[in-house]
Amino acid sequence: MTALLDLKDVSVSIDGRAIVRGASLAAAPGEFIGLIGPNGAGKSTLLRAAAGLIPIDCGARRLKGDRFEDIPFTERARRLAYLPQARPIFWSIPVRNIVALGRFAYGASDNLSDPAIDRAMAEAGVEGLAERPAAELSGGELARVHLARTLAAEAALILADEPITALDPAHQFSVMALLQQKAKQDCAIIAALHDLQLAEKYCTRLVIIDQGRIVADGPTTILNTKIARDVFSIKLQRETDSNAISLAPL
Amino acid sequence: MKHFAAYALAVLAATGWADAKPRAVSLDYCSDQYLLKLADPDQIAAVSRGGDDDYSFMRDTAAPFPKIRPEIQEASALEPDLVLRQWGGGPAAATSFARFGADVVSLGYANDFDDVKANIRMAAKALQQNPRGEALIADLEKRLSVLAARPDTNIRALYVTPGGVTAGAQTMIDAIMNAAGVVNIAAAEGKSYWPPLPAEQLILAPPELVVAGFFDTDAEQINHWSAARHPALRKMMQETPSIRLSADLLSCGAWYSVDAAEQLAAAAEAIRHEK
Amino acid sequence: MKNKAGQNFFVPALFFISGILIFVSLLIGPAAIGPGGVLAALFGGGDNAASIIIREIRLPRALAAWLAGACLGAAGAGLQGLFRNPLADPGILGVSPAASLGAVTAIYFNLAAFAFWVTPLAAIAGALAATAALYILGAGRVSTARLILIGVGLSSFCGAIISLAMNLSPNPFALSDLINWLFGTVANRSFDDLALAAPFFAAGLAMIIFARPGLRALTLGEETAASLGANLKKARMLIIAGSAVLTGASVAIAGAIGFVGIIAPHIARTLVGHDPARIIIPSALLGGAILTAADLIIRILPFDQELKLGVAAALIGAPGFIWVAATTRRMSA
Repeated sequence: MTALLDLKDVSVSIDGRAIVRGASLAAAPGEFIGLIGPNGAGKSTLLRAAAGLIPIDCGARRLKGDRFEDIPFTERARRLAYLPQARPIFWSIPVRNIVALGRFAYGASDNLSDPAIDRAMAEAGVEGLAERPAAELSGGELARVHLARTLAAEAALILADEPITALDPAHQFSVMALLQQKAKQDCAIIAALHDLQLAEKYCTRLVIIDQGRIVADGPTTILNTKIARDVFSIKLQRETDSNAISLAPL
Repeated sequence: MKHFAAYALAVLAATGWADAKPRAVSLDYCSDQYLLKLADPDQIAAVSRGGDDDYSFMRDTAAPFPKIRPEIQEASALEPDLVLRQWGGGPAAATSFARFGADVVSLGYANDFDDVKANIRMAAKALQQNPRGEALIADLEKRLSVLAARPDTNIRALYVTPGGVTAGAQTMIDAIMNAAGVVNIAAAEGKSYWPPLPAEQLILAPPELVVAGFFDTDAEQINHWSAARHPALRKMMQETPSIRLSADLLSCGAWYSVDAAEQLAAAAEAIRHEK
Repeated sequence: MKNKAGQNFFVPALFFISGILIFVSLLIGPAAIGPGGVLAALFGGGDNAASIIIREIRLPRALAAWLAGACLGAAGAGLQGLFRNPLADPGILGVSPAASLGAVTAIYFNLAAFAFWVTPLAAIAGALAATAALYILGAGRVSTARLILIGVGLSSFCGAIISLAMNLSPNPFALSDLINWLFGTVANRSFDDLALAAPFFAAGLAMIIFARPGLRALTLGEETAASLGANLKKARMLIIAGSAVLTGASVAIAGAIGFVGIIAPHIARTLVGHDPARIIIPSALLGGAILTAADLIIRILPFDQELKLGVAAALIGAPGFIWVAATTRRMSA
């Protein structure tokens, strides 16, 4: 099966500084990839490069086998949905309208009765907020609305930059479960995450990035004590029976 | 004895004890006119920079004299005895220019011929040229009475400028039109000073004579905003007899304003005779 | 929430209100003409003085006020969408004074004598330069305060150059000219002027309408909008060009008028919701209605010298602007 996303040896520098060096990453349907690494490792930049939002210095990017440069703008937006880390909303439009923007690539950002909108809002648990203006939402509600917008595109590839950071623990669990479910529905999901325990619990695969380089890529078991110490500067212990991990400072 | 007296007088004159007339500067182009007309050439220390512009009636006379800006340093450098002004130097000029020791004479803004006569008298007195001033006034009064003796034509006249502004009551233009025996439409509509052209009234009651002022200055552009651009008014004005008054007759109220009145009266009478 | 049905009501309602205001404008003036006379003049033909006054003096004036207001309302809505800022307005950001500078330059270098369309084109060129400069200096990336300060600087600069031109001009009426350019008026407009400005209004409005989807996507910021597939480059150019054309047209017909570009979109938002794409046409209609009403009021006021249109707009609009500025809160997730 062709990988939905294929990055080969991608390097990105910003203002002369190299942020991502020689990263190779392939994502296939069914995978929920947790992209983890310390602050400043280059997670956001890698996601932006994967979404085609910034130019790369060298390497190759392919979406479903086609090179990025060969895919027209709107087609690219149908194949991948991107949820950035900074999520401004400049006008206080109702939640339904925000989620409707996810349908932009289908020329339907003003069709408020598109069933895809209702589906996405239900998945993200915000259907009760449909008519509320953005200015009246809390941080957590906004985060889920943004997620709904991302899901509304019904794209096969989802790139999410810290999708659960603003959420309370219950919602963090439910969103991670949702993404896991979506992966099972033949999507490929790459989410940059800070919460190692949630990543380890829900993701099918982990990609660990440090100082711009991918230092490990594989099933969740690759998150071991050595990596925890060298990359994250923390102590990690794995329970033998439950396989859960516990973290502590060094 | 006679020789000695003459000799003494000559010495006195040479030393400036004799009754030497004051040297003067003028600060704006309206006071320039009075200075240039009434003073002896050696009384004129300088005139303003507007003195030789196209709209200055006495511009030829102004040519040989130095030109200054209405600025204390420039004026005081010439050590004049007298500063003649109308608006030049700003509202506080009377006190500020007096500081360097000159007499400051402020002429009034002339809105009618009485104001003009008062200005002539004031300027002549300051320049110690009373006989010349009285002669000028006498000439002015004679010409005004000749005009008054002619029957009023009562032609409805409209004063227009490229700026789209007309002259209502209490302006020199109105005084000129009254002296010429024509009816100033703007004043008849109850307007004073410098209102914009009253487009609607003109269509309701068109003028019989258009009096065009300032159309001969350097920049003959019809202002982008003027009512004169409007097609309806342009048509009306093209079809109406008109007379052009040159800018130098209109830019200040002075003795030569009667020239404008005479030209205007002649034009009005020509129209009356055609009817 | 205002759905499509809401817009379907407000747009025709605003057209209707504009029509009423224009009709009332026709009743006001020094020559007393009643509604019967107005209707006769509009539909009955006739060449008497009253008909000429209605058809050739009052009607073009009312339409000029409406057109200038509609241009400014649409330009304001476009600029607010582009800069993602509810305080953007062609007047405050210096775009209108720059357009005035363009027009004044053309007139005083006698380029206007070339062809009748030189003046509005020069106004548009001035507006274009200002909008492009504003965009380069920081659309959406700098704070509101800085954007407005840049605009204030631009305004002052253009005003100063215009004053300089007036100072150097040998025309003794230059000063009253200056006042009209900087404070705006629609007195004495004729159908010639309208015929000149109308195509630019249509073109500018069309450009902004084409950019509407991009404006809507920009609600979520440039990064997300790009990821949604919006062609941001095209949207930016359409808005910059469109609002410049609209501002240039309004300045050519009425001089620099401010605050309509803020107030119209603000009111539009309360009527049809905050979607930046949806407020474009209502803003245009509201702008037209507002300026027609303002011109109506200044003609009723019993002053000897008529109040300038831009002054009336500022008297109403500036307090409105202050209120919007004080109560606007930025949202972020």
